[in-house]
Amino acid sequence: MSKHLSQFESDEGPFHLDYEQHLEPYVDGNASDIDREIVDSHIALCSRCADELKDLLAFKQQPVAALTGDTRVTSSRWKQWLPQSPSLSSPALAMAIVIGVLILAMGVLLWTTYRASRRIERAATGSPESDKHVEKEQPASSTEHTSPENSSNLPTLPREEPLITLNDAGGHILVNQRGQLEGLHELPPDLKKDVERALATRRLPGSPALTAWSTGAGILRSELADQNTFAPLEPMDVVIETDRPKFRWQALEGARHYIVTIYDAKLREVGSSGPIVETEWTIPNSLERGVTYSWQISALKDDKTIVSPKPPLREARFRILDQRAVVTLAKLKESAGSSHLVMGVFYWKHGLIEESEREFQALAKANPNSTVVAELLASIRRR
Amino acid sequence: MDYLLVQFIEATDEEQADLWLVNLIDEHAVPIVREILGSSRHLHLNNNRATSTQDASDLFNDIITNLLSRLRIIKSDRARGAIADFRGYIAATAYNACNLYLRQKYPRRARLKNRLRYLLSHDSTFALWTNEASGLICGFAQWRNKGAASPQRVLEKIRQDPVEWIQTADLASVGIERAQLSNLLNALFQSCGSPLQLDDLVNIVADICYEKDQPDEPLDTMTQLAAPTLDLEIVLEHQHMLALLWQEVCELPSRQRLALLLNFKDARGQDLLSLLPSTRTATVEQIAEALDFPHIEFLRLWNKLPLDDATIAGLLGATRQQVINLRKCARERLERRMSAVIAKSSVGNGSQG
Repeated sequence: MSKHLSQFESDEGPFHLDYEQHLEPYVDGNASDIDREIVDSHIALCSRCADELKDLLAFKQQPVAALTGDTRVTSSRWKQWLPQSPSLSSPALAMAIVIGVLILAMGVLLWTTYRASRRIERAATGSPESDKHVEKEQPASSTEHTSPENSSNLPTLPREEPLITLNDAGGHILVNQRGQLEGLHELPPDLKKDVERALATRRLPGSPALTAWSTGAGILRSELADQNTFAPLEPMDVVIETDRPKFRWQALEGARHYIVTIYDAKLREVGSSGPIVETEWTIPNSLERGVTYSWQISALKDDKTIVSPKPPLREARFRILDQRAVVTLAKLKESAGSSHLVMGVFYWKHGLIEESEREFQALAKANPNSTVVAELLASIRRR
Repeated sequence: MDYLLVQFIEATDEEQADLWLVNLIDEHAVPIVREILGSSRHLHLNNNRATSTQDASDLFNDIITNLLSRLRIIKSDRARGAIADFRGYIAATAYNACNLYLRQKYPRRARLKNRLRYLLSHDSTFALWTNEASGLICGFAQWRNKGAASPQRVLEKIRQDPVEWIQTADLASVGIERAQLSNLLNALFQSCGSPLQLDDLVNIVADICYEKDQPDEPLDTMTQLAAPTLDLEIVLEHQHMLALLWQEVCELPSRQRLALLLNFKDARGQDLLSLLPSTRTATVEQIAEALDFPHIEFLRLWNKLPLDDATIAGLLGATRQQVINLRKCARERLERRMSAVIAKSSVGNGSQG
């Protein structure tokens, strides 16, 4: 039904690019001249469609999977291959090969178990070789695995090796083989899941608190050039903790004074600085929490008022962290404030990107050899 | 004109017309719109059921409101265009509104869906096909043309603990890069053991990769769904603005200019092209030149304006939908350019007053 309807001709409603009709043919270079013109004209004005097209073009350029098609569908490929191989036409021969493979697998398993127990023994006795065999993420310190029971003369039990160990929260945070976080208690379950997910996927994509905001694609080039001279600097596209933000902007040469004007989501004016000569201003009254605001800076120069940003440039927007998140943050600072990992993920989740980056920088400093932390920090910076 | 609409359109008594209108909405529009909104997996399977219900309810109200206003316009002026298939029209309106709403409210999901569609149709390991009953289906290439099973129990288990599933599937990294998505789809299809509906796949991949949208405030759906409209009333009030409009029209790409001018109508469906010579904004000769038509040939066409889209499509060698899209692009651009001029002019008038 959906396919049928998507092809229904309609001149009602706004126009946006359709995947089948416009995006895929354009990306593959198969679009007709007319459709190419339609796409080019539309993306100059519609940032959402421009974003979608840009994203798909970038996706097309990315390298394909390292795995080849032959190695992917393991179970079904085995089933296809067995009867086709002439040497395996005899059931007896096939059975003999299967038994042989099983014996080999058991041998490998026994050898691996033996090696693992030797490694744990070496770690318990503080052998300097122990770290050489650990392939997973390890902290910089070489003593961190020596648990209290290992330091005594009690018999050593074979213990599951953690998948990730990080220096954090004044000690160590472990992630076990099942991807579960150990060493941090009293975390809200949602946040714990988010931390585990971040460590498992090694990335923090765009903050969910900021996804509805425009990325600014589709801005006309000539207008972008203007933006470089006189424009708001901060806050821009962020969530902020304080309800009395400081506004900063790029100076306009020859301006007599500036006026900051703040609007709510319905474009009602909620605050104004009045004429000021500096290039920053802190609002004296508190703004409402959980609300998204936009702001403009106007400059008086040669008896003319110049405003930035103005359509079609994207708005300078920010949101004040909502009250619920403020309460959670206060509790979290008490219970897990020393964990850069937890605080970093919390800030990321709520759109406080600068704070999140700061926490991950501190975590990277404490774990200079950790590729997981390096990848998480890189993904925050890529936003 | 669809026979379903005849009694409403021809009713002379206002009360009677309202009764027919209510009947049209209740009997035909409401069930179709409900069915289309109900079939949207995202509106249904969203983890946050409250948000999902609110989305569906907002969207439902907006579609019905738009249909009501469209029907009233048609009744007041039949020249605005007849509806040949009312039920098909409702379905297309609802489908387009639903699609647009989801894309605008969940931009991240929309981009992920595009990526998955592209991967599924460009990687020989996978396939994407259409099934009459379930819409778009995907899976391993060797499953092509099978029906979708969409094993909800497996999907629910993954959704409950994606981290555990990632560890079990032995995926080195998870993300929305092409290589990562390719490996992820491979593991997902193996876990499911059967084809999936595309929307189910998008939802589960979004859960695993944490590609979540969290709009900060509800969209103003009426604004979002409204067609871009150029306020020609204001433009026409001012001679100099009409001149600016004509100048902007001349700067449009030629195909867009043609699609717009040959069907240049105001909100009531009245021809606007004839206004240009009568206000001395442009002569017929200049219009012909802008349209790249020989003068004599254009004069023959003059009395037939505005032309319907099928005729314009024939002139352009395009499809009717392409003509509609070209005109929408042209109007978008004019709207953007002219609204800046109008705003400037209003400010100027305000300061003078």
